[in-house]
Amino acid sequence: MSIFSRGKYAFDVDGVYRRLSAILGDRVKREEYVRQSYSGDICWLSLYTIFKKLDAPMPDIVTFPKDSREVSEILKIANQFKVPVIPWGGGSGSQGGVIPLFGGIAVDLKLMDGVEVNEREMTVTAEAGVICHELEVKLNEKGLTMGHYPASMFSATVGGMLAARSAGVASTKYGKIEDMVLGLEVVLPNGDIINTGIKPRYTGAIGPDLVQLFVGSEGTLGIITKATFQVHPLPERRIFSAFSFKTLDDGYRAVVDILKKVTPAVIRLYDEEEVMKAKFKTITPPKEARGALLILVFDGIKEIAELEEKIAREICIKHGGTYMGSEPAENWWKKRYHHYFPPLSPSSNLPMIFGTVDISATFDRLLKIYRTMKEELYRKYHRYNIQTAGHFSHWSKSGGMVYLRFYILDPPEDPEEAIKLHDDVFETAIKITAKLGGIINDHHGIGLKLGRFMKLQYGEAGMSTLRRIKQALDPNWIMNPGKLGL
Amino acid sequence: MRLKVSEKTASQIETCAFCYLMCRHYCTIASVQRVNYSTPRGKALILYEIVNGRIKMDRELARIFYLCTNCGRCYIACETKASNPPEIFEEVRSAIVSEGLAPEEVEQVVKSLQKLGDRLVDEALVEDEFLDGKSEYLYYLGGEIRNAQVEIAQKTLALLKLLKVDVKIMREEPDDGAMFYLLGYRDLAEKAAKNLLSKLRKNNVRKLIVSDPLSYMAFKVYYPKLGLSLDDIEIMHLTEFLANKKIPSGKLKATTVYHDPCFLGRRSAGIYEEPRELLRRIPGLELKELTFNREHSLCCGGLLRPIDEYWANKIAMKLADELRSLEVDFVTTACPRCKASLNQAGIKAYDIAEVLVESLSGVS
Repeated sequence: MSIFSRGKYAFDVDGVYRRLSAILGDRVKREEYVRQSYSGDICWLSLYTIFKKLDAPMPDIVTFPKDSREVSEILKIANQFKVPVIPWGGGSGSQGGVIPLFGGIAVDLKLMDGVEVNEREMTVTAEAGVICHELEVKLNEKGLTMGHYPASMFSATVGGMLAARSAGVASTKYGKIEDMVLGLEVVLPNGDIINTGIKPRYTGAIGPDLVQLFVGSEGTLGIITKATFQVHPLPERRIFSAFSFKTLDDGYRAVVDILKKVTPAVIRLYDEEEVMKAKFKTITPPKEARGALLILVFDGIKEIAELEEKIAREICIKHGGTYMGSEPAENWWKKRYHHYFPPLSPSSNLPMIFGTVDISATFDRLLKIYRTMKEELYRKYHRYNIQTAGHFSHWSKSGGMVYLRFYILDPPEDPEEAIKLHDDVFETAIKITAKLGGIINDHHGIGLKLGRFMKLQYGEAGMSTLRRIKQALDPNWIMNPGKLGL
Repeated sequence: MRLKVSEKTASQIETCAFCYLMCRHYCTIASVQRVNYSTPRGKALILYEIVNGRIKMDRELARIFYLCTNCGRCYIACETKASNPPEIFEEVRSAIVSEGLAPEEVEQVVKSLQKLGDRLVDEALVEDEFLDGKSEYLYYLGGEIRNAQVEIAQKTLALLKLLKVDVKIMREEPDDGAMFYLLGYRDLAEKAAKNLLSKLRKNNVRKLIVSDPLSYMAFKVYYPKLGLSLDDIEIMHLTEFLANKKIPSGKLKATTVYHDPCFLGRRSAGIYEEPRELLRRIPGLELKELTFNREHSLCCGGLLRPIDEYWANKIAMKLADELRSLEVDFVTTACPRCKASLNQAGIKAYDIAEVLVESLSGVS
């Protein structure tokens, strides 16, 4: 059974394969097992498709370029023959951003793995295929860090992180990937190569920002092939602390006040349900914890981090928080990837339906959106035995993100019904977010999963603007078609 | 062709297939090939489809399951130890061989190993050391040293002699069968193991010292898996044996780094400290460490070399780059394959026995 319909873009696969082979030699593949390896990411839909033995779309050809010149040649051929192109990084996305809906050419960038650390400039330049962990290790060896620690650290690539606006657990202090990037090399669908230069943060008056046009474009406008990031010295010290609050509201108010005064690297506020009841916990709470749990991590120069922690602790206590010591936070830090490994990960529990609604909003809206979403999900889907778990993290000075995970423990047997239910849960949650003035995704990206909600975010005029940008850069609509609502 | 694997392996394949790619950064072959189907998860996904009959296994596809160094780094990366990919691939290879689908290059390696049979050990090397009667220890060279790196045996025996150890070797040393096991030829592995064990028992060998971590792995891990008991023979790696010996104080003014062989460390008995301790005891020798050391150490790709020299070289070059950045005078290891891989990648590398003998030159 196929759950995907293949539309336009019929092309001469043999002819295109020959043209690509002339450039790339044996770094062009079309064997079934290779194409199958490039049929999806780790979104629920991709995994469920495999689990249920459904037919998933596959690229017709997979390519492995070694440099931006080869990427340019691939895109020229794809453009000439009007063949869809799906840029590939680590495949660790959760939004179906690499599902080749219409077949075409998968462009795996992982062979582009060059890294150049510039200690004097405090920058690092990395090619698109460098894996996040590889980059961090190279920096650590020189006493530096990106400050970027996403859950996908072990498989996500530089290109993929930029294309989907990745955030790491310390983003409250170090920013998201788009805050770290100082310059890009991008290959356009016509084969042209843009080099933006390296602009230190908070500097430059050079018109619209071409870097930020491509960051988050999810492969729909071109292929990011290289990027330069700012880096930081490895922190001298990390200070951990944890607080329990009677209610989520108390904890939330404490966080807002903390952010007015100091900037922790990590702020994670867990809803009571995640702390106490959730089947798939992402934290092991201390036994004595009741209500909401707040995890704080401060890093940097010892004295400054200590002072920041002291200020935050006073604020927490003022809001009725109970200091739980450093251990719960330290344990979380040490085991922060643990829950993504099988059999603890939701993906080990298929055919269960699961997903994460990661949305953001300003301080005044975020908590309300979370509560409304949660109530509505339980009201609408309780008959499927839905469970949720939520935490707030990735804060800024004016708002934050909530990470609402849902698990449907009694899903419909029929795949079509199950997929419909999965999509319906997202629709419910995203519509509430948009209605209450939130941002429909924080850091997983839009991909295939949320594409149909882009209009809710930007409105007709906004989407029309995005479409016109797409049309101008990619007149044949070959770049990752069907994603980002484009 | 569907592939027949045990229930346990089928379950481990499923575990890896639905994992969130949590070990890609540690996979040796994936770090050089850098394609989706080279990671344990990528391979498991293909196996999952093969086991479920959605993709057909053939000789061409079988090749990718041999493109794994069996180094076990993925298992170290797996925090929950939910699955053990090298063990999956060892069984899958066995199933591939049972179906007659082994790639040609693998068949070639097996044929040439079979031709070698029980090998005469170089007489010049050992004239008076052959096992002909009672001795406390037997030194087992293993295929790689016996056939290609006798100098390691020479130095090891010289060292043991210096320490007044009552040790002998076999004139005709039977193969341990480890390569057969690794390549999925379990029948041949079992036959070789039985042949070796019967000769050991015939000669009343009670204590056996090995240098080659692959032989060590065979005795400690593969033989028990084949249902063969070694309870009556004590197996020791040279570094384990030496760690408890009083060694005269030598001298070596140099810097070195110890490269951990996969099959001596994470894949068998976790021998990490003994070799380091031996090196630390050498006056004048400074011991450095790589970022990835002990159970996290990088693999040299040596076991892949007979099957695919191109990727084996790529892996060795990657390790060589890391070692170069340490700026040591030479690298010390405790595996003939690691030594050869590094030498080939332009790195001065020695077996620990060679380093110890060098440090003791002048000491009688």
